[in-house]
Amino acid sequence: MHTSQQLRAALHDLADAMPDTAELPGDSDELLPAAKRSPRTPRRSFVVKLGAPALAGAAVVGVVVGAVALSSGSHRAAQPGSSLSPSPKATHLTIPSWFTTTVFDVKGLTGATVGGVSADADSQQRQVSFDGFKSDSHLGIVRVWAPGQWTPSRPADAQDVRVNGKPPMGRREG
Amino acid sequence: MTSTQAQPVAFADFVGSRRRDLLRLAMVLVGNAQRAEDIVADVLTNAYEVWDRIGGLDYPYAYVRRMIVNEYLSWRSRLRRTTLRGDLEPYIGSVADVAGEHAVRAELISRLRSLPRQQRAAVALRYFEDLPHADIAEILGCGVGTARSHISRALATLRVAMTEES
Repeated sequence: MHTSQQLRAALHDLADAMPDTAELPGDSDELLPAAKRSPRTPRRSFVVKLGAPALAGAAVVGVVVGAVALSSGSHRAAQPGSSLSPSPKATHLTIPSWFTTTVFDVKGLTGATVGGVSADADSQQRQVSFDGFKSDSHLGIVRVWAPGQWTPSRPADAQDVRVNGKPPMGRREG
Repeated sequence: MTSTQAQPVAFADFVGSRRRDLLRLAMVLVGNAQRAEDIVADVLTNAYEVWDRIGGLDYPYAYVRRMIVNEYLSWRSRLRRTTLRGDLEPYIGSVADVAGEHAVRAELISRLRSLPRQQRAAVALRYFEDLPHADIAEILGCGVGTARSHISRALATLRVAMTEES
């Protein structure tokens, strides 16, 4: 038989095995923790930091979520608020190249427009700029659906990311 | 959500200060780093949507912690995250070859795999979060007796001796 102290130690050992991704990187435009994952393993959720470099120390965090909300039959996107002041700077996040076949819904980014996708073919990352981003707190939620998992409950104001001027793979325009 | 405080906690501040704690709890529950991150990300998303209320609580962490457990226990999670067996192998392997205490811990972690979700959640809340039985019962949505039963059965499976604190 074991003791409860040994059980506590075991549970803490297990918790200690959790990689420390709580520390957001110093640069403002990173999506975490893409570097740790296999490019062949599409990720459904991420913690993303949005915001201008000057705000990097403010632990600005958003969350990217997949088809979870859709499975409930209701859209549960974040509503950052209607009385938001414009951000003086556009913000952007960097997504890995294997994620370009996904669809981004910028519901949580009030007033956002999506564009500015550019990267060479060999790049491991694509950059998506959110011009006109407005938020009083620079918090944003970006929802990500895996290809083919988009459902009719998509919000009316959702916008697709365009990759090299084209809609993401598997998506039709309109 | 019953009580409020004068100075609400900002979502960003909460995430900055407690996300690591939430990840560790989720890791204990699911035994898989990516799934733990999934659960925490899902929960933080949901929490963000109602942060006006959560942020005003005296102890927002307790509420979000409950969300973590509920997400782990939810039917949606069961559909997506049913493959508990094998999840712990990377962590077991790193310590299984070490003699003595580490071997015991590895064995305990291995046995966690066989626990039903309610029992595993109860064990995590009792022995990782150090919560009293009443709080565990509230989080699990059951009676105190049932919470004690979950823990008792889990300890039997884990071959952990029942003690006064158990």
